[in-house]
Amino acid sequence: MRVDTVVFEKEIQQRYTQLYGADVVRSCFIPLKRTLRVNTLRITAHQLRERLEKQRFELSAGMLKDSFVIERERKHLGATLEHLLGYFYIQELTSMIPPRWLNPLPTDVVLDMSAAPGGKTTYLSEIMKNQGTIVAIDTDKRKNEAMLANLERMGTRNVTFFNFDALQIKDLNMTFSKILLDAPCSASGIVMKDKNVARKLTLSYIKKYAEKQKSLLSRAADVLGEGGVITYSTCSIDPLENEGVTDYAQSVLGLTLKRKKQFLPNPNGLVGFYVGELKK
Amino acid sequence: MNPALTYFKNKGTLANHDGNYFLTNTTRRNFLYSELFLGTKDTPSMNACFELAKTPFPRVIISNKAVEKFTHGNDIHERAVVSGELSGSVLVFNREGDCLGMGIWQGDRVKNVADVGKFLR
Repeated sequence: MRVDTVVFEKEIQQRYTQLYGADVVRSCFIPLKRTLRVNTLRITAHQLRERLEKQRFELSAGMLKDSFVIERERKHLGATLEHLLGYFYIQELTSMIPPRWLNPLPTDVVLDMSAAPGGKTTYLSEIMKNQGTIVAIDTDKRKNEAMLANLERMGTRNVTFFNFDALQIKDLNMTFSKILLDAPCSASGIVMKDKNVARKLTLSYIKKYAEKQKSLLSRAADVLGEGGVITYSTCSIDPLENEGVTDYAQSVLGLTLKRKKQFLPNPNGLVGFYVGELKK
Repeated sequence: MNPALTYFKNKGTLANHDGNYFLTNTTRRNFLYSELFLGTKDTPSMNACFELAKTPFPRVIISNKAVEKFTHGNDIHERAVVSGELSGSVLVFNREGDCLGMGIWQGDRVKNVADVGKFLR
C-alpha cells in the first residue's frame, strides 16, 4: 500500500512513536477507502447496495450495521441520485460510533454541541426515528451551508439548528437528557485526509485544543440533566485531548466515565478517534 | 406560491426565518433551521417534497431519459411523462418511485420548480 512521505513534526513524531509504535504512526498517512452510512429512514441497506452495484460501485459491508466500504467508485459517489435523495451519508466508520453510543430514544431531548456539517446530527435524528428533539449548535459559519443542505437532504424533522458559540449554551435555558460533544480538536487522527494538519501539529497546539475541550465539556455538564449522559469524542489520537479531558470531567466536573475507546489509525480503514461516555 | 405552505399550514406553527418557512414547535426565533423546512414563499424545499410524497398529493412519473434533465433543473416535455395527472402542481417521480422534486403543469410541459439536483448545483 502506498504510504505518503509526509510525517509529523519531530516532537509529535517522537511522541506518537513512543506512545503507539512506528506502525501506527505510519498508518496515520495511509489513504483510506470511503465509507457510507445508510439512511434507514429512507431505504434499506440491501436496497441501497443493489442500486449502487447496478451503477458498478463495488461495496463491502462496513464494521457497523447499515454501513458500507466503497471498494471501487466508478463515478463520484456524491453525484449519484441516491446521495442527492438522502439515501446515504458519506461518513467515516468511527464517526458513526458516538451517536450509537449515545443511543437516544425518540423521547429524548438531545444536544449536539459541535454539529456542523451534520453527519452525526442526521444520524442521531435517524436513531430517534425523526422524533424527540435535537438542538444542534455550531459557531463555524463556513460550515453552515453544508449543515443546512444536509439536514434538508437527509429528511430530518426533529432538529433545530442554532449558530452560536457552544460556550454560551446556558443562554438557551434548557436541560438535556443526552449530549453529544464531538469536540473541535487537533485532528491528529485524520492526517491522512489533510496532510497540512500533520505539519501544524505541535504540543502547544494540542494543549490549546485540550483547554477548549475542557471548557466545552464543562458547559455541557452545566446543561445536562441528572442521570443524563454525554458522549465525548474527538478525531485525535493524543491523550491530552482524550483521556486528559475525560479525566478532568471526572475529577473536576464530578461526572463518571462509563466506558471509553481509543481507535488508532490502521490500514483496514480506520482513522484515529476517541469516544468516551460520561454520566452525571 | 409554494404548495407545501398551504398543505402544512394547518398541521402546526409556520415560522418564517429570513424568508425560509419551517413547520416547528420551537418558541425560539433565532434558529437557522428548525424541524420541517418547507422552503421559501415560492419554492418548496426537497424535505417538503419528500413529506408531500407520503400524502395523496398529485404526482407524475417521468421517463428514465427525462430524469437527468429534470435533476439538472430543466423542464419536462409532455411526451416524457409516463403517467400521472397533468394539472397544477405535481410531485415528479422516476420509475423507481423516488421523489425527484416538484413541477407545475404549463400546458405542454412540467415546469421545474424544485429538484434534488440543487444539492449539487
